[in-house]
Amino acid sequence: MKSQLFLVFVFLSNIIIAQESFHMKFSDIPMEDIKMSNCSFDSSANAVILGEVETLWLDLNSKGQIEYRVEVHRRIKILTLDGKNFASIKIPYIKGRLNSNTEVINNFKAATYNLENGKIKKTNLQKIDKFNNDINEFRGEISFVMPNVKLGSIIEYKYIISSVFIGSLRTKYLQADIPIRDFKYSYTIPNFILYNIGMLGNLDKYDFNNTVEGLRMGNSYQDGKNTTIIGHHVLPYESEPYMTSFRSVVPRIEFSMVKFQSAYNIHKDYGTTYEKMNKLLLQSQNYGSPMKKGKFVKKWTNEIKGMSKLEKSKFILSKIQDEIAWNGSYSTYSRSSGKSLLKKGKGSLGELNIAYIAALRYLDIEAYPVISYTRKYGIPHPVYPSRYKFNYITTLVIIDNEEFLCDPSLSIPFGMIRPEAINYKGWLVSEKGRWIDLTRNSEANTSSMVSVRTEKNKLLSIVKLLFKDYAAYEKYNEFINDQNSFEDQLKLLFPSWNITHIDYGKQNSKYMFTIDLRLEKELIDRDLIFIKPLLLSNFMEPPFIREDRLSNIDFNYKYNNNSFFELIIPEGYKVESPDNSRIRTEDSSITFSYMVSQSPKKITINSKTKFTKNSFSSTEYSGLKSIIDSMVKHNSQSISLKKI
Amino acid sequence: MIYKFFVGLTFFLQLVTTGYTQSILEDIPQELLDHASIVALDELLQFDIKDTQYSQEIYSITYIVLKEGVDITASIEFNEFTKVKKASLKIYDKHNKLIEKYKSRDFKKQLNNYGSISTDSGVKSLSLARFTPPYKVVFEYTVKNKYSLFYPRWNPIDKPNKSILHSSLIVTDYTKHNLRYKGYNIEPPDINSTEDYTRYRWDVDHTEVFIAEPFDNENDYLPIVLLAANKVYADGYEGNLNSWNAIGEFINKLNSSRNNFTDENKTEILSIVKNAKSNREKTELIYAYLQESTRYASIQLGIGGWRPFETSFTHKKKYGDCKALSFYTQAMLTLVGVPSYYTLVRAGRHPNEIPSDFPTMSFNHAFLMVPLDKDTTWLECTTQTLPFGFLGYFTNDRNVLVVTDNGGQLIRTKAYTADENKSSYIVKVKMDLEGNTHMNIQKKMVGPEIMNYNLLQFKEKNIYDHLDIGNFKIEHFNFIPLEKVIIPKFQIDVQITKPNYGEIIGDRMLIKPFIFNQIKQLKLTKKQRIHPLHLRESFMQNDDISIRIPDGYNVEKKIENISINTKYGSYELEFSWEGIDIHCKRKLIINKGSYPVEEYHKVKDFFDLIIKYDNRKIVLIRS
Repeated sequence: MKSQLFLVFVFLSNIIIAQESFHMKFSDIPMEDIKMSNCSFDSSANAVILGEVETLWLDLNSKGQIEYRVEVHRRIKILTLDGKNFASIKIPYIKGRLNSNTEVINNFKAATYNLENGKIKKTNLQKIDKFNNDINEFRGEISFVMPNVKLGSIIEYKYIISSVFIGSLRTKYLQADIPIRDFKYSYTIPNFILYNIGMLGNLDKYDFNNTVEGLRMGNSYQDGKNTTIIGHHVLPYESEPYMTSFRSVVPRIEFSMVKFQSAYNIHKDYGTTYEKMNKLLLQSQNYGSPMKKGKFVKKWTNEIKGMSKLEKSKFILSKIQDEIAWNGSYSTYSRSSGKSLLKKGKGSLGELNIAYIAALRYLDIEAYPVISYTRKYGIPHPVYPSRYKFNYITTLVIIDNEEFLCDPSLSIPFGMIRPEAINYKGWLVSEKGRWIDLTRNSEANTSSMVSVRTEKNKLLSIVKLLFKDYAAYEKYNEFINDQNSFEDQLKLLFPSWNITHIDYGKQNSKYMFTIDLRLEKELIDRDLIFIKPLLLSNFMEPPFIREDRLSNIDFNYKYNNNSFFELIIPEGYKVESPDNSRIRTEDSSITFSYMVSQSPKKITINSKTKFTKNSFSSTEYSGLKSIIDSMVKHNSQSISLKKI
Repeated sequence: MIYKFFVGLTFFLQLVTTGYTQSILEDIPQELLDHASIVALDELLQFDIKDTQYSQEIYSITYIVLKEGVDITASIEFNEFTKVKKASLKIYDKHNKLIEKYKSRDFKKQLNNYGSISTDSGVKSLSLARFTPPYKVVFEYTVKNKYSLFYPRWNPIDKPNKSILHSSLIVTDYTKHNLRYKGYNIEPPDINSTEDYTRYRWDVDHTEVFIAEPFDNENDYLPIVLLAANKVYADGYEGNLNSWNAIGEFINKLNSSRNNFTDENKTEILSIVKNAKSNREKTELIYAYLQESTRYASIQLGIGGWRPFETSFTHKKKYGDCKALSFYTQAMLTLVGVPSYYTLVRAGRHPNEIPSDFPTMSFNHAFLMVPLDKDTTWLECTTQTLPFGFLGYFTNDRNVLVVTDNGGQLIRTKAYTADENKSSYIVKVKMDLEGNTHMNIQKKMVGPEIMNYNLLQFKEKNIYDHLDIGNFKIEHFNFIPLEKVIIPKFQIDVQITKPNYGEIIGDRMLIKPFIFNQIKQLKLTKKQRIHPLHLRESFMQNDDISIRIPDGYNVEKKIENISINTKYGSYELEFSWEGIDIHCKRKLIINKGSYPVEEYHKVKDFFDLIIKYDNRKIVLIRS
């Protein structure tokens, strides 16, 4: 699974390969760069980052606070007229609650270089070209428009950004929306602060070098470690179908503090291992303690009297979902009891889940919090936790050794969680903490039953389409969001059919969505009739057209489909039908079968698709594309009815 | 989005909030609840005009939200010239019990900086997503506006699935002469005049949710009131908006003394055209220079939201927004002796039409008109890539304000004919016994059709993404660079292998030849139509497909020849074959036009037939 998700984790002790480095001095523009007219490794590029040198280190600021600083130096070549748009730049910064904590950008300089009369002419950025935009209460940005930019110009800028938010250092993305010719990224961390450093995405093309290094902080020297990452000829990232987000696929370095030991012997351990994090969470006033406050459940004593544990769990879940709204906060902690939440009528993710767990435990039902990342935030480090990066929480309910993952933050059936939370694994916070597979119940099940027979010289087709689990959840949401548009879409899919019935709801607390269709066609005088037996499949059109794939493929759900077709052959006709087929991927993560059975009076076709996993690596793309193409081909095949 | 607008007003004041003492749903007629996600119980926008300023003294909305998942965000737009006062919002539960109160400080500011390098416009907003429906919202605020250039457009049904119990607009003109209005689908206002003011009132009562339909126009059925000032004042500039000519004069005032080329600038610009022999040649050279040397950068701060940069600044910095770049281009053309006119437009594909009988500043973009000898040429000054004189869907076929030395003049830009907006395929297909193919495809695009492609960054992956024919593999491709003329042309030649073009069933093979040009966007599904139908663009599709079928197969069932001619367009299919060579031709023309509800079925029948015939299959049989 690790390799499939393209996860590479490196800690500070990583061993390294030294490689060809490069240096860049501001204003020192090589003549060959100013004369170059295209990017040798990406001929269609509008612009190329010729060089990028970024250095991160920690130091003390004038108030004696520890802060981290990043010096950024970037040089970009404009290769096409459209490429001039890369000469308008924005640098975001974080605002603090106190003005003094707002990140500061200084040592700023920027210039444009053009070749004029055989010489390099420099145009400096002026004050009037630069703006400070107060975006919102959390964020600002410095934006600037490079002056005198023409086809062939080189632009260059350099600045230092300083930040006191040392709990989580700036993520460094190693790929951009334009190609990068050379880059060097270097960070130096003092030994008294330990960061969990996640190196994510496909890092095969980068070289790493680690050294032991002294680091000056204020007036003292600290022992530290330096890591330098070098990259050359990095192609730009691009959008592809079924990818989660750029943020989760672009190669990147993430930093999250796990341990801090100051010179004054103040020691803080934010959880260097999952076991330690687990212990800290269980001891936390905002976590473990509220899980003991489940008395509020007494409110429903009469209703749950005589119920089984499973029924009680379902009942309490629906009550919390109905009576306490999610307030939009992704906080995984709780400062409120269930009682006060019921009074307020709303709460954070943490508050809702912890209240649910407290209620179940009060009723002697085993329940635990599971913390995780939402899909667009990537996946947690398997060894070193970043406690503050967990941004989702669900509840694992265990009844008679059966486990159910539940989500009280929205109206979704028992055993299902919000789709954005179906993401790799979550950590179960308990005395025996462990990983939980969040994709385990992520099936999107569809089935269809098509029955065709002859009635009064007409060919009558009756169809039932059934959506279950996440397939029903998605259909249900489409339907309630815009009923008119939903019906229009159906009519587009089934233009000549009558939609006889649409039904949705919960059955055994699972979503169900059904659509019934009916079609009659005259049979008289028709010598040759073609019928498409299958109307519903996970993929009616090939979703992947490109030959190559850069990012992993994430379907979010495990798609399963079971489509059945039955035709009572009209008298005087014979049928020609397609062949059987059974295919599967090498690891059986996708299986597909298309089985035809024919007798003189009847023909049946059964098409089945089963996915056992949600995501696939880019190396699996070719096999995945091939099997899905084959599914599409079979599922769109026709049968023929020919008059004898 | 270049021209900065003052506050866009679409919300209303609530008057009665106490009349719903039981369940708030009980007082709402059932027909207003049907299909509604939001019901406006009682809304009022009160708009006061004082001198050349205006204010929305009380600015609030009361509605009830019925469905989960409806994204309700209370928002107040702002910019440097507006002042938001006294914002408050209250949430009541279904029993009309107050459950939450918010004040001004709870509204979070967000600058609208996505398309701009810098702007002072933004929105203060408060998300209500956390509340579980049904609930009632009472929203009040006051906005004071320093200038009167933009009055609001009142559109009480501003979203689908919203019904209205009652909504009002009250405009009080204390100047008694600084209001003009135009209503759509609404009764004329009640007018009450006193010594101190003239008051106008519009009401919308008991209105069920509207149903948006494909190819409709909201001006046909939604109640809308447009408001505009006669006299305006903005940052030291006075003017009138009561005629297109006056608006042009006001723009001239704003732009005056912005042309300040230095002598050095002039020498450089004159040198560009030193060998040019005609005005057209000069204009082409200046436009090429503009595209090569400048770029678009949106900076909308204060009066800069309305007025271009000085030309010497743009010349030196080589950047500017649409106003700056258009004005700069005009100044260069003036310098080289070519007359041209700064022009304002509401840009974008299918924007609300600017009514010719109601002069307003409802523009969001500037470009340039150049009256050359034989024809009028339009120059889009913010693009580095589009051809000289090309309008595209961004500015074609609409009313624009041409600003001459003598004031403004409203004229209409060109509408493309079907022959000028064309997509053609010439395809040679060779099939094997399995139904797989090798194809030589030549795709030609003419006119606005070229805008679907990134013309300067044309890569193999663009073909995979744009050639919507299912699975295929590119063997070779080439493209002929864009022909940069007023009606531009672009051509891609690509050789592919495509599996499963033929579907084998026993002894037969089915071929669906017409998979290249499609009319997915022209499907009409409803049996009945409520509003008139507007086909906004004429276009043509041509397919010429030659198929060599595999040896051993014969044609069992051909495609019948079709010829349909209607006022909405025409459709022709031609089929012929000789031995193993099949030849299919398809030609579709759609005519731009507006058609009443009564003709809906004729249009639908025409579209349905196209879809039906496009899906026709050739049946081959093994001999």
